[in-house]
Amino acid sequence: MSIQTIFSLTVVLGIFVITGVLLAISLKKEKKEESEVTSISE
Amino acid sequence: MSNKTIEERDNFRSRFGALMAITGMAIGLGNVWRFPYVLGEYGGGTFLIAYIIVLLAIVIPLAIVEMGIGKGIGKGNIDVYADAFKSKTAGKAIGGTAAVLYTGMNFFFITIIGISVYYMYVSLVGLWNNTPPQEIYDSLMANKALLVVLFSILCAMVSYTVYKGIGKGVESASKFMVPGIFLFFGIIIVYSWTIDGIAGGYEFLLAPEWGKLASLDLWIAAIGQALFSVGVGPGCILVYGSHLKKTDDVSLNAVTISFLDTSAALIAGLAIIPPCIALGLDPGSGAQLIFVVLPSLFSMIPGGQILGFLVFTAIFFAGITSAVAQLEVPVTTFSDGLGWSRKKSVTVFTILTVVCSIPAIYNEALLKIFSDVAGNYGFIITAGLGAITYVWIYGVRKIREDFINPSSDIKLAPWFDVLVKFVVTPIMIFILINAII
Repeated sequence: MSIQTIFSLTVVLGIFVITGVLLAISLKKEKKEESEVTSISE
Repeated sequence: MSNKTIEERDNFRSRFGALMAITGMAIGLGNVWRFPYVLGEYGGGTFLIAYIIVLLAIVIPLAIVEMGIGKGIGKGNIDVYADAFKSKTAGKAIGGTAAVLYTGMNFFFITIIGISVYYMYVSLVGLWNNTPPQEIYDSLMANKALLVVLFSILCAMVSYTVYKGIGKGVESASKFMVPGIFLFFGIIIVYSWTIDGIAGGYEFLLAPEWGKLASLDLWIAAIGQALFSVGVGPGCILVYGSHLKKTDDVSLNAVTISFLDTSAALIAGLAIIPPCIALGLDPGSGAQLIFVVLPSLFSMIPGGQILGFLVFTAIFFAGITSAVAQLEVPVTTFSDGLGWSRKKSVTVFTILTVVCSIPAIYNEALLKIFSDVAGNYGFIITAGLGAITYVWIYGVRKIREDFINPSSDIKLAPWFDVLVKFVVTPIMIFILINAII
């Protein structure tokens, strides 16, 4: 596999990583909001 | 009811569910049968870089605006257009027409999903072991009664999902189907590494051609693909945005969904194209790729029946979540705008889908008309009209200040208005006109 293709594969992996991070941030925010609602209701 | 409060609406129950539902709307057959082809044609990595740039600079800002106005007004297309034009009649005429055109895609789309369901069966029984894939496809296309049966079952499934509502129906289905798309294509990618010559397939799909970065055609293709794939403009992001909770972060959601959609297209491309190249098959694009080339591929590799079943299941998931969105858009729009009950909206648009789809199964010319009117021109015109209405008529500044920033961690500054009004929307209109010409 050429260096150039490996570069493209790295870009692809970068997109997957960014997607995973964004999803993780969204889920973390949701958990934080849920725990805030729970503590308020308690 | 048009005076129904936002609290009374059936909204998404969780952020993850909302993300999966909107991603399911965005991920369609185009991610599987068009993106890999365009990626290979325009120089792999080169196209990918252009695609990411236009995704960040053009598509995501528009998606933020559309989701923002949907969440802020909390209603479907009719009410949003009525608010923008200060006229209920304009709202009914433009918003109603846009929603009906959007559901028009189901007039041919559900039949295609039916074909992918048949191929799940073809994979399980290994029909390609004794019948050439082209013959399997041709005999299915000639068997109109079977196509009608498959269409009817799927149409009922889509209608029931939408009838159940946003939380219990659309969200619940998307929460397992969308991760399934990623999981099943992921399994194929890992398996494909055992095929001799797979590196050559990666070279074909991804090897960059830097000279193409200066080509206008590359950029037009990248913008067109990104706009159509994420689905900004016609009102689907608006409708799903109208069901978000008031605390949902619109900017984060829009960015996440755009990246999930891109990742789905990439994962499908990596699963399908390199193995085809490694085994000497010409991947091509469209129905030919999915229903003829893929069965040929799976007939050539050990465990092909199971792998084929997984791929066609992933394609089924990608299709059905989009078909659900294509029904949900008019259902939300007419329930909010005209005060129809959900049951009435679902019934009316399901009957319309059945009345248009079944004759189209028997008449290819009619199928082509629906494909052109709803899938091509309808989508393009309503997308352009939507962008102009949200950005220029309703006002991007108002959307940003009132609907986006209050619940977003990262506040968008006034430069965002300038970018969307004077750069993004004109480029989008140019691309849409270019697509029509």
